[in-house]
Amino acid sequence: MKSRNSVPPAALDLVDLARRREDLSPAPPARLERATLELSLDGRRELVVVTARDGELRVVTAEGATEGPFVEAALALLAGVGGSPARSESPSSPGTERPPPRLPSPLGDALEELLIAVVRSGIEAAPSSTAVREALEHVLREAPRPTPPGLGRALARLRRALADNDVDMVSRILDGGARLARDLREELPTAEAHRRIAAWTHRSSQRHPSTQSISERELVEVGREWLPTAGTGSLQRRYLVCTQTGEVFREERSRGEEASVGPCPRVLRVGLATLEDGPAPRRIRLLQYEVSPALDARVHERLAEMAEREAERVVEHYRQVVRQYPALAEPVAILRADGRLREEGDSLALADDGGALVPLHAPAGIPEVLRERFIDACWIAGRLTESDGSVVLDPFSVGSVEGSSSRVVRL
Amino acid sequence: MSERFEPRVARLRRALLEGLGKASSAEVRQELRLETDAPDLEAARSLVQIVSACSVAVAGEGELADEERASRPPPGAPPEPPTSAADMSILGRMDADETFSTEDLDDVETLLGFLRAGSLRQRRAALGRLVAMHEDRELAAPDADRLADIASQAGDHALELELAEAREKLGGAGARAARQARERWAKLVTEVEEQVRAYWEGERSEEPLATMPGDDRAELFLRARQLPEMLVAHAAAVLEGDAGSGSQRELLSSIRHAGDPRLVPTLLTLLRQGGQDVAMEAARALRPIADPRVRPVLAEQYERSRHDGPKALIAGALGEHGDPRGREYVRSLLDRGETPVLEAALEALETLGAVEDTPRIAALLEHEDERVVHRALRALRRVADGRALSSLQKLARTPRGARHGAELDEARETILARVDLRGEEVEPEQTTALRTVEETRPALGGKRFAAWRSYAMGHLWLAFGAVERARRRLERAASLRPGWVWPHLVIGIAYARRRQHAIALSAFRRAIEVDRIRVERQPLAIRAAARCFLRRAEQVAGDGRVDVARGLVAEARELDLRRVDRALRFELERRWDALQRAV
Repeated sequence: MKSRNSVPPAALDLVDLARRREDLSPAPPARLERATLELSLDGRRELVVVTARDGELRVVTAEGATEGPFVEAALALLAGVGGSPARSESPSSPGTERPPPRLPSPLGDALEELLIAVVRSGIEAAPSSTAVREALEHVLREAPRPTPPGLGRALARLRRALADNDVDMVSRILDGGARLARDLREELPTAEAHRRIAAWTHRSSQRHPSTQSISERELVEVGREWLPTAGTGSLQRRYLVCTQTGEVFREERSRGEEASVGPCPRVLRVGLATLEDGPAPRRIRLLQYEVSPALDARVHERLAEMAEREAERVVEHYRQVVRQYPALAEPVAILRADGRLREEGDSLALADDGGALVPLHAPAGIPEVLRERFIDACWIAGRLTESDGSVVLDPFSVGSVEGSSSRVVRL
Repeated sequence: MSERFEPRVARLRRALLEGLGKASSAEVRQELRLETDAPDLEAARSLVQIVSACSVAVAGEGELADEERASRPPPGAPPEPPTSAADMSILGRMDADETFSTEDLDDVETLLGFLRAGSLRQRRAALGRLVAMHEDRELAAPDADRLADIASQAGDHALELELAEAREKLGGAGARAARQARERWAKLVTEVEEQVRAYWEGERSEEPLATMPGDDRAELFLRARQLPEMLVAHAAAVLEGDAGSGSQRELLSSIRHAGDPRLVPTLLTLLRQGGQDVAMEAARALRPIADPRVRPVLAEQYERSRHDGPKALIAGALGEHGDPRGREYVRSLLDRGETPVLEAALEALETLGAVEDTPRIAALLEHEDERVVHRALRALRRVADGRALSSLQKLARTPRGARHGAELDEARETILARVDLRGEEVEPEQTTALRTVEETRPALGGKRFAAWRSYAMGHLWLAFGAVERARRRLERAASLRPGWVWPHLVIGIAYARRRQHAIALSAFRRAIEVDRIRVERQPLAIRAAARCFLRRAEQVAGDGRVDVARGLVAEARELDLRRVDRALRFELERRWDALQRAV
């Protein structure tokens, strides 16, 4: 090992710098329970969070990856093996690292311009900032036409988050946009980068395909809503539950575009469909299908069986999806109700058997409708979001039983 | 999160809130372990990366800092509506005091008054109370007859479902007709259900609601609240453009009076995202729906709307939901010259208008455009101020008034009922009917018998299917006995049944020329005539002759249609609106 004195200080990392401290002395034994490490590797920076919970080690990057070079490096550092360039046997000299090849990307530039505009003006001032408004428009101009739903929806949510002073959501979306900008410039994007690009733009690459085909499935549409999106005005999202696996998919169409035909609710017998990798619920395109507008008793029973009963699992599902796609995640859940709607202050919540609650966070009027007509609903489906740090459900449909007939009702 | 990191992350979050421009950017860069002259892009990337990672790590389990919670804007509740000046009459008290309802009323006259002149909520409640009294045998026979009469004649589309149920319960000839209408409706529903199922399962290529006759569609949706779930879901899909057919506009105007809460999500979507025309129709369709989701979105869209037509109708819908925020705005539109804006304002004043609006609305009875006059009549009926009676009488005495005969009568009856509910009185001469039945001179004896004989022979030929021979006999009967309307009517009905509407039309016109009042007062006759006008208008409109179609519908609308099926009456109005837009 070369003498430490021969390594320039700028090349030293935290570990080395800590070791060089002259006031270093044996410290009382402390228990490390969580560490957030900012690592630089091969010209890329990444944050890795390491936690110990119930005797288990959990490692995840800011992108949601649980394996890979950054995870290995974090574990190695904590375990005291491996090292920085300063501790390696053949350190590279400053200035000899070649940056990876970069492609020009107008969309990438626009995303970074948006990032800078928001951070400079601050979230509080951003809604009235001309620079932010122009930067948003610039992104839309540089985006593919028509605006991909992933990007459009992220920008619409960013606008909303700026208006709500929602630091969490703004940071996640801007960080996601910044990563996308880097990925778009890679001449040879990694599989991770392709996955990210596909999730935002719905474009799959041949080298790293991000779609898979499914066939012979029965899907039930349990909800349908129109969501604001930048570029195309609004996006209709249909939520389809697979009666075999219980997974929820989303089918999307912008105004003026075509998608599968049929009312909500409906039953689809799918001959062939494609699924995109991406945040749950995964995006589906129906290619061959038969549709029936009538839901029979068997389908209603299956929906009731598949509804989630435990609040903790709902929260964990939310956290998992958000970790994987912080900027794009809009997970959904179907929660068993069965007379478990409770009044919590001014609003409603769903309680599980243990009394844990999932609050409902619904637009004006919907809580009254639930109280008046669906207090004994069988299940409630909705999007999971956060409010005041807690996971909440924004409901879009209910399943209820009236007499001998069951029905699915849009809210 | 470790205590060492929490203050750091909190500082970074604050920097993101305040901006690098406000916060000391050097300090932020230091927090980010960057050089003080690091580019903004690098600082911004690091900042959002750290804040995002930390927020993701605690997603769903963290609490917002008090400072940050305080910086969030409060939830966007719609502004509370302004309060109206208190109306201490029974009408005002029923609106203002939710605990005061028609359940507290036993006086039949008062209840009938509410049924004629109240708001939609009041009319519904009054009808329910009267029917309950009838079922509990608390309603005297004459009162039950009056109620049955009102139930069969009231042109109250928004209340059609309740009126139809009332007609059945009240007994008599009206009950039989109501039961037959319900059975006919149920049969129609079964047919349409089958067609919808076949359509989605690929066995039928045409979307059923687009291809069915307009009055059948109107009849289907006047009882929308009793439709099976599948049909409502199908209608929602058509309206949202998910059915692969182009019939959204037709269907949207057909559901104007459906009043079904199951359509609320779709209508709210159309209100928010549709163009002006679509938003106006959506506002109309939302007006009669008593659902908690409606008012907040109407209020939000009222504040956002920039076009007068939709904004006025949204204001009118809010008025129906007890929110008068748009009243002053709608009143200001009465000074505008454009007919569509005036029409929308008058439509909104049906729910927002107050007695002080009467003079301005009454002045519009002299407007050159018939559409404005029509809307002004409806607004005056709903405002129902006694001062309007003299204006109505003035209009009735003009040739123009003849074209609005039925509306004038309805307006007068409603105004008198409301005046009574307020405990007021009007001048006796203002209570006289606005129109009188004209006497016809009887034919002389011998010719009368010959006319009867020809008439009978005409019926006989019709029984054998010899329509031409029948027509010659019936025309002879008519020539022998001028002023006898039935030969013309029989010719018209015979040709209409054979779908030869062009020929039937001329026969109905002759009947109307001979004895209009008698045609209007015969349910069989007026229904057949109105349907013939509508069918012929549909035919010529389909050939592209919109002006001719418009003239036909206008002609039909000038008749007294109170004895016509509600669905047919509604479809004529809807067709009229559609043809006006086609100008």
